[in-house]
Amino acid sequence: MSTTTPPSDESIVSEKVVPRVPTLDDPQPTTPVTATFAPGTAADPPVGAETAATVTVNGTAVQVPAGATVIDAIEMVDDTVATVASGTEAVEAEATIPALCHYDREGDGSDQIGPRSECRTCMVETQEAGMVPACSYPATDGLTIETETPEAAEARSVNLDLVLSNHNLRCTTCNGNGRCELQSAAVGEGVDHPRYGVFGERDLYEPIDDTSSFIQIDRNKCILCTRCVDACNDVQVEGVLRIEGYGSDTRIGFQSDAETMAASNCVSCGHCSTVCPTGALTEKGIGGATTLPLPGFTQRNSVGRVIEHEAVETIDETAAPNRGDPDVPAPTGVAAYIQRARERAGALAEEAVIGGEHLAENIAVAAVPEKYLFDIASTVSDQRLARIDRAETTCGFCAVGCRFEMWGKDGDSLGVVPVDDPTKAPANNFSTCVKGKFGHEFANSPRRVTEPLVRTPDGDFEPVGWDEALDLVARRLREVQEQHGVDAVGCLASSKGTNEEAYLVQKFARAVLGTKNIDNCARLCHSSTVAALKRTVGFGAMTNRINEDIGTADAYLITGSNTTESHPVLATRIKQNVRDGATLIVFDPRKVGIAEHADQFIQTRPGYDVMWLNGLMHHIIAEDMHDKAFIERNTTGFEELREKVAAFSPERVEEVTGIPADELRQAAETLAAAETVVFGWAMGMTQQSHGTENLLAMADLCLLLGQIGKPGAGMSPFRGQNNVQGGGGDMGTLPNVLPGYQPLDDPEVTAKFERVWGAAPPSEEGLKVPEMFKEIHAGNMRGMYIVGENPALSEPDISHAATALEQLEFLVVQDIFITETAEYADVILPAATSPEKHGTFTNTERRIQRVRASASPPGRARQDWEITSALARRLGHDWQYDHPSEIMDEIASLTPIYGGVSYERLEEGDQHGLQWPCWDAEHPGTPYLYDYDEGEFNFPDGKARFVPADGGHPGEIADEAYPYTLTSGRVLYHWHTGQITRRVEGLMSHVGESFVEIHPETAEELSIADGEYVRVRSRRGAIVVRATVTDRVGPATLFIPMHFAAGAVNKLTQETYDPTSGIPEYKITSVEVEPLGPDADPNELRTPDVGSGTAADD
Amino acid sequence: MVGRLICLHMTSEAGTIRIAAGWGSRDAERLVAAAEEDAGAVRVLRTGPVGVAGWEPVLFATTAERTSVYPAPSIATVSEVIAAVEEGDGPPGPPHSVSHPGTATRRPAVSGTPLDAGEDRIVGYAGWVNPMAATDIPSSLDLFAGAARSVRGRGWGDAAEDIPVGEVWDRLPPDTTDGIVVVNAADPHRLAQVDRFLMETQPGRIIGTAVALCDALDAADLVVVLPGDADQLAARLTEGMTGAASVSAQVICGPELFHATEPAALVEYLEGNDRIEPRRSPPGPERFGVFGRPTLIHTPRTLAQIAAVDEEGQVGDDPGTRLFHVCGDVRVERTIELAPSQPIGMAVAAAADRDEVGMVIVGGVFGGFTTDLDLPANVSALQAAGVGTDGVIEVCAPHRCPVRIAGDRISYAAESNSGRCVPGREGTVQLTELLRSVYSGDLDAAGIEELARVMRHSSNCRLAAAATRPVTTALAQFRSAFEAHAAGECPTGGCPQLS
Repeated sequence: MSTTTPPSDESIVSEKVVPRVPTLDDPQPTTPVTATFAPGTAADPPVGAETAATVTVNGTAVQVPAGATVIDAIEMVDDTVATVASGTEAVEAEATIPALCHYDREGDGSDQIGPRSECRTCMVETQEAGMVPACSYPATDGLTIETETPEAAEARSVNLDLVLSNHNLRCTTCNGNGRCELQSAAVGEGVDHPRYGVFGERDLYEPIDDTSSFIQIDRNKCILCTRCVDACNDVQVEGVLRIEGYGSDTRIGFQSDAETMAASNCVSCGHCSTVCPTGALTEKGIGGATTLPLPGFTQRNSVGRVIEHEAVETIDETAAPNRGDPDVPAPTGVAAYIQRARERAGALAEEAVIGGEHLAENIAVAAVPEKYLFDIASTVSDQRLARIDRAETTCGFCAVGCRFEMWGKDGDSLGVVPVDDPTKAPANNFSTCVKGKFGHEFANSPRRVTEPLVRTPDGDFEPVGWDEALDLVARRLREVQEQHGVDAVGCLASSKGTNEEAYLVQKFARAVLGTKNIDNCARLCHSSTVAALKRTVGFGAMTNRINEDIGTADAYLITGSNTTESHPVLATRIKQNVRDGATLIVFDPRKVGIAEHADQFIQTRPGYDVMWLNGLMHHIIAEDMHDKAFIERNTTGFEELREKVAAFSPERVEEVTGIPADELRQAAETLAAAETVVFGWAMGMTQQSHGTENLLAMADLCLLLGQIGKPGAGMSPFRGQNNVQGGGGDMGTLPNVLPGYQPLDDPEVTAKFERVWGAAPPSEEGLKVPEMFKEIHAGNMRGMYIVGENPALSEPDISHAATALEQLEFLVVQDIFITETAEYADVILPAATSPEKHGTFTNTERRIQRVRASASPPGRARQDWEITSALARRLGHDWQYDHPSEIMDEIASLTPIYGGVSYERLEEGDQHGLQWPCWDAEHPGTPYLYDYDEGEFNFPDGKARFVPADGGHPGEIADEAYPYTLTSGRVLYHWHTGQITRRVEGLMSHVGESFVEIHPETAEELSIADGEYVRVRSRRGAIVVRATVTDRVGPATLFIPMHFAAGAVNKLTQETYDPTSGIPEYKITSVEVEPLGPDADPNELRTPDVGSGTAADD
Repeated sequence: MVGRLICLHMTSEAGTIRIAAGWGSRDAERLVAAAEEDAGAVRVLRTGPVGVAGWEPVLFATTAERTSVYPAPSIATVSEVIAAVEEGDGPPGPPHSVSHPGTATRRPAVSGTPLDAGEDRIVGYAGWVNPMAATDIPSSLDLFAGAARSVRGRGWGDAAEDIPVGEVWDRLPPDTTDGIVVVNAADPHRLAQVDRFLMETQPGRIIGTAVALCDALDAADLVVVLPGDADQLAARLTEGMTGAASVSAQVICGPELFHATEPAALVEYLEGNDRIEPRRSPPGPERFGVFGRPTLIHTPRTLAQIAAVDEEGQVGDDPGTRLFHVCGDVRVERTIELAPSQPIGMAVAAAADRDEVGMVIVGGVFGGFTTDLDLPANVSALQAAGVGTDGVIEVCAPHRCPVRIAGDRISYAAESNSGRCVPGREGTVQLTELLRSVYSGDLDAAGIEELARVMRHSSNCRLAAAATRPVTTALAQFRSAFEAHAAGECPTGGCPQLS
């Protein structure tokens, strides 16, 4: 297979300086980021008529609203008068106007795409303006539209044939077959043999760009509708794709100097392939799913010339992937070499097949009218699509709660396409991020645990039957409890599983085992948020909605949130809104992606957030900018707050934090002047020894400005894991509350649970995660049931955590892989993952949404709810659930805030899902909490509480021995402890190993070169990671991601906890750094810090 | 205000010496230097070109009652002429002179020279006035409401091409205060010479008219866009406009891409886009122009006619005159001005011998073919004949092959379009292919007409629509030539691939 570089187009960007007229005012808002975008497309005027109008379509009058186009008018008339549709709908509706390039989806996100009005297949005739393109021509008052004149029909037909003339019509091998809008339009229009032929000159084919792991570009299939360019620049606000060249050289290219997708700065969000109407930009995972199933007959082989992808290593292949020679950029290593060699061999073997395929194709092209090719292709795609399992579901990565249609085949996950009806995806419409769109390949990993495993006396794992495994677990847990008391066993539920599964785990702990010790990883992320918000406003949850509020705020204060990487789709809404004129203020120790879009970015020193928050409030009160009427009406404790913040003058704040006083004042004034403000934060605020104090101060600031209980405003803790709101909180997987945050010590409540459960929940508060580990060390906790959690990597000071796991008498881990934690287990129970499940997730905006299976668990792996139920039955409790919906019914009966939730209701209404509180079957759910006028805070008096906050110093302060402050966090391409994302080659191809960000000044001070391996050491231990020299971090601040076992940051972090919430202070660790240069030990590099990596060796 | 920034046209009682040539002419600069050294009481004026290729620099010597003309004079001739005028003897015995008042604001016709053809309402300023002299435009309200409303926009670069400018002015948002007026002289095609000619000969009048539009619009900015290679002219204009107070005026060189000078694309260039394609419309630039601001875009030709019609109050369906760059198989390339009733043949006759003319292409690179030289120079007549209205008449000698020229033109369109819309990008390619097929014996006249019709009706900008004109008019006028080509023969012998 040849690897060719595509021809360079010298006309792409002229070297001549663009003579923008320098003194002309540009009233259009941009962010520092979007101002640099060069999409190569025109800044088209707003679409549609300026006022509402009455127009006539084929003699029928129709009233249209302002902003309407002719297409809108046609869509509003009866189908017997005229029909218009694009894509597959065009065929189903037998539409008369194909409107090929028109992107026809409801919703704000898709409004950002087009109308490009490129293909002109929607021409209609008007009395007033002659022939016009329906997709973009404004429906102005009095316009008389005729759709069926001979001239209009001729124009549509000729233009469709013109599109086909430059389209490589190889449907049967095309990845877009069966979901191609051009194919549908041609079939719908009855195209038999296009007037101008089709593009079939093999010598003129552009090579396929197969370099990305996820997205394939075949420009021979491109119709230049530029939906992808709009999706990349206007929807995702990422600025990667552009249109380049002119005339017949026009093509889709990149805004960087890159020639290929892999070399570009693409973040693989997948929007481009989502909106592509043809097979030009396709998801490689789905590629070929609907083509003629003959060996070798693929889009790659059909085109013949391919710029190949170079694969990197994953933890499915090796324990410490992609770590090696600092002079050689990843990927490296034997596995990558073997992989490349295999590809080359494969390519050679394929050549014969390709020759045959081309011959067959050429004969078909010469002998068969295109109509028959369409027929064959459609038949093939219909048959093959029918064999694909498709299910609308909710994403299993972050808590934004994106919904999409998942495709699966033969039990495996293939990929993701948008849901048909955008109201079924209220948080994201058609948007996705890289993980949501492409990150599900882990489910197909050969390393999945497929049968129960039991540790043998010699330490190995041995597969056993379910009965044997469950009997063993039940017996051993009972023994531990009999010998050491019921509370000697603790349970960890998962924030990744469904609500129903989490509910059952806490029910199992409390009602079956009778232990008070139940917690989950929400302890490690937003427990301080929950604590602070419960004290100030009453509910420990986000007060508002993603699109309707966060997407429309006039101003933002975002702090401690790497939003673009941790909550990419939500960040997109903020980026769009800021581009359209909203004001963004970011306080963060790192210049994270979202800060690049900010109007004001203030680089903070980790650990002093209460200082500047109090300073903002000091200035707001001093300048009389607070919302006095709101405070008077709806709050208590203002005087105490005023007294507290009186000491935090901007100058004083500057002394401690280094934030210039004037900048602080400016931020305060911006926030006070804004009509509506959203306060957004994540773990940068929560994971500190003063996390709760930080969030008390944040809540105080929000209340001070009266920015709550109204559209476009509110407090938005961006929850981390897909179901951390539901499974990590709402379901009572916490040691101090029952489901729905009901108290443990209210006899009425416990009696209610006892009636349903058959056993009363313990009334005493249980141990938090860190306390459990402490009690293990103390010998008081002897057994654990850990579901879908990986504390061996996620706990602070993991060396210490490891000794605890080792020390346990009995550990049962229920998971989908042999995680670093599972390596310590006595029994591993193979579970299912989100593409294999039914249930519900609750997203960060409190929206409960359905999860559906499109694949099946591998081997003998089972649904988590089935496993927990089976265990309960083994322990004498008659749990009989046939479907998760029955569990939800039980949840609703016991949990007032979920009182009105049922599977039926989740599918009803204007939008998918319900937002809690949803008190009963008639209650519509609660879009945003509280009320600006009436208060309605979740306290008996309905008033919010100002709770003055104090900061203090972080648990560890940089000193002579450990002079740098290390902070940790996420990267876009990975997820929590990386157990699933480190198995996805494409995610690893973006970020394949751990790294440390070092400011250039610090790097120079230490003689550290970019890309070199360094040893980072704290008082707990040391790790070796690759240095990335960047000014994203401030001087003397370092950053290491949390996802890797080789270069595991939690080997360095410390066991300092927020006293209120028990959250560890992951964000602040004092470290020293030492460059290793050529002395980096290859063995050390290829050995993970946590876990043996045995899983990769068999 | 314009008068403040642009020197007024002045003559001297003692006589005026004009040295007329295109800007950047070194010969002219040498002559001017010599003249200024010799001149005493006579005034020496450097003027722009006269619009006759190869006939410059030209020396005009004007006394109270006559002007003498010296084409391409030597320095000695200049000295001799100045000395004679200064001494009151009048210019020494030249072959060409004309009696007229020496204070005339426009150049007189000089019989026996190329300066005696066509109208002189606009062309008469050429080579005569101080280029930076501003026209005297009445109050802006009068301008917007007056006779100038019915002037039809001239040229590819005008947002009101072929329609009364008033129709576009009426579409401006009411009460706009952030408007922009753009003088679009940027058309880079070699045939498009008239706008550059006007910007070299009478920029003061053009810009003065644009400033008056700014006043009428309450527009804050004025931008003059010259052809991409006109750096020297841009520098001169910028210098001449220094001190403009009421509007922010600036002169830039435009894109060197043909498609990018159409108004819907030019706004993209002015915004600094690095890849220029026309915007979707409607609305046009007058409602959503540069950075979304209302932007009025006129060519120098349109502005010159606005000024002239405003001065003279002329009315009618197509008021004003039309300027044509006459080129091709001619004795001399030149700029000729015709009244609406005058036949294009007048312009052709001024440049070529009748028996050397086989056909003409009227309207520029995408003009239409005709053999009818009696066609009057107004929009209705030109459109009815299917030819273009842009100010170019290309003379084709009898040996030129219409099939080949039509093919070249559509092929140019296929190469020079923005790539934005299917009729523009793919239609031009397929129309080229259909013409190419003629050479292989396949003449699909109905297919050609069908595709051309669809391109005309459905392209996003004016390029694809205009690009069909050479093909359709060639086919209509020279059907037999197409048939002959399909039979393997080129009747004129202009196609080397056919014997």
